[in-house]
This record gives sequence, structure tokens and C-alpha cells, in this order.
Amino acid sequence: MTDNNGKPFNRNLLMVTLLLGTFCTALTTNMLVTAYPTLMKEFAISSATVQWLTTGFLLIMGIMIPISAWLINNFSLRKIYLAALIFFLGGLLISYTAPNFNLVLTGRLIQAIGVGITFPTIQTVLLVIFPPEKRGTMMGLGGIVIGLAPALGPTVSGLILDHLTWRDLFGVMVIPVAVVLLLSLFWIRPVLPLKKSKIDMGAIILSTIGFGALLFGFSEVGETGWGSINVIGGILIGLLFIGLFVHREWPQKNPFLNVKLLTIPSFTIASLVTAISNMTMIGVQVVLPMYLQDVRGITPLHSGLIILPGALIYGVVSLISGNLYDRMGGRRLAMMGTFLLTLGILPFAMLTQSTPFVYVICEYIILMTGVALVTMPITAASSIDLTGLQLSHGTAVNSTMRQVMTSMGTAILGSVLTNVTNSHTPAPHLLQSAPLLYQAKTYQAGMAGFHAAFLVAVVFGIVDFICACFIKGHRQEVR
Amino acid sequence: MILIILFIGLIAFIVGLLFLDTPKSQWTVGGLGLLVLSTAALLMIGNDNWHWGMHQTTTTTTTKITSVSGQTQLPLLVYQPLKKSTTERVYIYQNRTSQKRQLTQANLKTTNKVLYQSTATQAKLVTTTKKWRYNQGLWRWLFENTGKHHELIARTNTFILPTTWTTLSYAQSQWLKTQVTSALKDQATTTLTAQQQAAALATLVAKAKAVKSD
Repeated sequence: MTDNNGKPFNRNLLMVTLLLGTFCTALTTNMLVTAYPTLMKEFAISSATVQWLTTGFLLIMGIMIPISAWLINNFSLRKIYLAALIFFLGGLLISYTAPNFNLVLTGRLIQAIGVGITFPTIQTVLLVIFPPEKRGTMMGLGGIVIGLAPALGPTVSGLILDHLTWRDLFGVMVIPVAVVLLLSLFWIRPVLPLKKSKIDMGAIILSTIGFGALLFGFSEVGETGWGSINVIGGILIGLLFIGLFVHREWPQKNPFLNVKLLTIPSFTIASLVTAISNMTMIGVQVVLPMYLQDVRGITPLHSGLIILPGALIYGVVSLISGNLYDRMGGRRLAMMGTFLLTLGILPFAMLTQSTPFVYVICEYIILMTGVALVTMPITAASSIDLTGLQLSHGTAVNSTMRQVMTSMGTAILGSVLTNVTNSHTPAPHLLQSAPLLYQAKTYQAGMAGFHAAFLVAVVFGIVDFICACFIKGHRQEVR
Repeated sequence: MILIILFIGLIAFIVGLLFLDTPKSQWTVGGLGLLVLSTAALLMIGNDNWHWGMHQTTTTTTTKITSVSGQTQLPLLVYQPLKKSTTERVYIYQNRTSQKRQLTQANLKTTNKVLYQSTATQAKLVTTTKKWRYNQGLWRWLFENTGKHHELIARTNTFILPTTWTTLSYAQSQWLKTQVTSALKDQATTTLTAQQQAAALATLVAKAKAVKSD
């Protein structure tokens, strides 16, 4: 194969480099959660403050993704990818050496710029450099990176924290990322078609404020509840600016982000299914460790180990399901996957205080098998009717959708958990007059909260299944 | 076993519907897999929530106990109220065979009773334990190696005491101890008859019972 300059290039080496780089960046997305208690003690900060390491990170990612389509179409892949890795590496070094929390956070936000570019980039590259009949298989490979790596994060960080310090959470990534950066210099070639357009500052401002405010609104739900000014204000301003953004982009011939793609049914349905699947999976990944740690009293490392088998199965099934998609199309995969996803969560809605851990492990494996059957194949399916430049825009649109719905889903599950738990929490005087009863009622309140939250996740699963029924079937029929 | 069945169902579901050639074999194997998978999941939920395949067993153990006061004239059963509670307490006792102090379990599944019997000569602790155990045969085979084999339903600790015993809270017993020690000091100067001693002790015990229990 030849690149844009007509020079031959090695597709496999390019793939390996992209996958390695993205694996490194994806691994860190969930890594810090385990370190919150350590960081809160180290810098004497509140839990609300330390949350910004994740909230801020997701916010920056959510802002970068809509911009990614324009970046991919205007700069060579080589430049974009090197820049992303340099941002990421720089951020790591800042966090690693930070003397105070503000610099740790600054480093983290700079890392997010890198991650926000690498995620959609790899998806677009995979869709572009492989012919449609191989897209599923390649997306499966990408799935290991995009799906498995974040799931491994908590376990890896638990291990690091057990033996090293919180700085090493950033430190251990420096050398691998530097190596990938070096490899990128040789192996990444400009392979994506370019179509230069003028930078549209108005669009960037509208999308940044819109998605920034919306994601901020959702992220505040956990701290302040749905009624607070931050939440309502954030969501309203977000929706308003996103509306203005769409209004501005819709009539344009060469839009900054091609939102008109949403009028293609195969694209919209498939994007919706992957977004809901991802939203449900991440929601469970947030709530389940809380149950394991708060109700069952196990350490973060152990709760990470409980979800590890599911994460590994995800990687394996993702590879197979990508290949299957190329053979049989997406519809059956999507329906089976969303069914398993729902079946896997159902027992979580009925957890008890003594559910055997092996049950949790196995049910989580079923859930992740389901997600793996859906996510990557259906991401490929969303591109069925897209060609050329539409691919980078499609990736940007469905990644944005996934990002927004995931933070919305997490906010919903989190607030259901908190509200139901609080409404069942016993009166404080009981702690003095009947401490055992108080303890038992507190546990029951917690369980009621978890049941309600997982039940909402089951509803997400059912909605996902219904959407999956509308996915286009076999590709051959489509042609 | 239930987990192996679960995974057999999962694999049959996936392999059947995604890898077999003819629609007939796809739906036979896949459908069967779906059925096995769903049944296994249902059994796991039922077992976890409603103890399917289990029955209640009751065991009773009796231990002879001695007073923690270490004095034969005044045998004591001592308890500690939990925080300000009037109903929830932990009893402190001592087995006759060991010197180590024992505590009753602090949880809602445990009920403690104190029973005075005029016929009793030896203080005893009768513990009745109700637990979930698996039914023999199929059920036990299904749920082997899943943990959760001795789940407690309820436990009743009944202290059967001769009428010579007194039950006091830890605070009351400490108050009594200081009173008795000072009384014994006074005794060094004045001699009392055994009857007078017993009467004096009874008065102190009655006063001790009036002391705040926490």
C-alpha cells in the first residue's frame, strides 16, 4: 500500500504503533480512581476536588472529540498522532513531578487532550485503511485497546499503589509512551485523505461551550443532585449551545462536524446502540465496585480483580465478534449482545449482602461478553453507508454521542443510588438507641440503592435491545 | 457446577447462533443454550435471594460457664449495652474449662436471653443456631464450590442461671467492685457474722442495679 505521498508503507506496523499508543493512553482513563484516598491525604483535599482528575479529564476529552474530525481532515495523521502523544507524555511528566494538586490536575488535563485525539483517530484510521469487508475484524482489534485497557486500569493501579507511590501511576507510563513516540516517527505515515478547510473558530467555540457545559452539568449530579444550579445551568447552557452548533453546521457544504450524518438511519441506529451499550457498561463499572467495597468491605484492588476476568473475556470476544461481523453482518450480533448485556445485569439488581463473589465474577463475564459482541462490530456497522471523508466525521459524531450518553448514564445511576439510599437511611438517633438495628438498616438502605441503580441499568439494557432490533442486517443485502 | 452449566449454556448460545451452518442447527443449539443459560442464571438468583435448594437446620450446644467476678459469694453475669441501647447488649462470660473471657456476638441475628432457674445448680449457656444448609443430592451437587454453605439465620443464646447469680452491666459491676473492696477494708476493724455479711452484700447489689447501666 502507499500513503498520501505515493510512498509504500507497512500497514501492520502502522496498526501496531497506533494500537500500542492508544492502549497506553486508554489504560490511564480509569487508573486514578483507586488512588483518590491516597491523593486526598497527600494534598489534604476533599473528595469533590479529587474527582476532577476524572471529571476534568472526561470534560476535555468530550471537547476534543467533536474537533477531531476537523483535525484529521486538515493535518496529516503523522502530525496529529505525534502531537497527541507529545501532549500525553508532557502531561504525564507534569503530573509525575507535580509538587501540588493543581499541577497534578493540569498534567492530567493535558493528557486528556492527547487521549481525546487518539481515540477517534484510531477508529477513523481502522475504517479508512481497511476495505469494508475487513472493518469488523480490525475494529475487534481496536476493541482490545479501547475496551480492555480502561477495564484493566483499576487493577493495574491497585497493584502499583500496593508496591509503589501514586506518582508511579504516571511514572510507569512514561517509558512505554516514549517508546511508542519513537516508533511513530518511523511507522506512522500520512494515510488518511486530507481535505483542508479553514478553521471555523465559531464552531469550535460553540461546540466547546456546548459539550463542555453539558458534560459538566452531568458530572455535578453526583455531588449536588439534579436540582442544583450547576446541573440545571450546565445542561441547559450545554443544550442551547449544542443547538446553536447544529443550527450553524446543518446547512454548510463543508461543515466543521457533519451532523447531517444523523439523517442516515443505519448510522444513527448503530451509533445509538453502541452508545447505550457503553453507557450501561461504564455505569455498571462505576456502581459495582461501590457495592463490593462499601457493602462487602473488600479493597479496591480486590474489587478490580473481581471485574478482571470479565475485562479479559471482553478482549477475547471482541476479536472474534469483529471477525464474525465481517461474515454475517451486525444485526444478530447486536441482538445477542444486548440480550446478554441485560441478562448479565439482571442478577446485580438482586444482589444480597452475601452473594458469593464467584456469582458476581460470572455474571460480569456474561455482561462483558454481551458488550463485546455489540460494541466494536456495531461501530463498524455504523460505517456501512459512509464513505471517504464521512468516515472521520462519523467517528467524531458517534464518539461524541457515546461520550455524552456515558456521562449522562453514570450521572443517572449515581443519583438513583444516592437518592434511594438516602431515602432508606435510618434516623440518626437510632445509632445511639439501637446501634445494631441502625447498622442493619444502613446496609438495607445501601442495598435498596444498589438494587434501584442496577434496575435502571437493566432498563438501559432493554432499550438497547429494542434499538438493536432495528440494525441493518447482512452487509451483502445492503450492497 | 451451576457455574459450569451457566458457561455451557453461554457457549452453546454463542456458538450455536454464530458458528453453525444451517438455520435448523443454529436455532436448536443456540435455543437450547439460551434455555440452559437463563435457567442457570435464574437458579443462581433464586438460590441467592430465596435460598432455593436449601433447608434450615437447628443445632443446640450447651456450655458450662463460670462467673467473671472470680468470687464464689457473688457470681456475676456481666453485659455491656451497645452505645445507649436498652435492648442491644453483648454478654461477657467465661467457660468453665478456660480462663479466657467470651463475648456473645453483636449482630441482629443473635438474641440473648437470661433465665433464672431455682432448680439449676450450674450456670449454663445454651446456644441454638439456625443455619441454611443445602438439600442433599441434586441441589448440593449444583451449588458445590459456590461458597455460602453455612449461612446463619438466627442464633439464640440462653443463659440459664441459678438464683444465686446476679446480672449486672459492666459499669454496675465496676461500681460494685469498688464498694466491696472498701467494705472489705472496713471489715478488717469490725467483724461481722456470715449473715450480716450476706445482708450487706445484698444491699450493695441492690444499689448496684440502680446505677446507670452504660
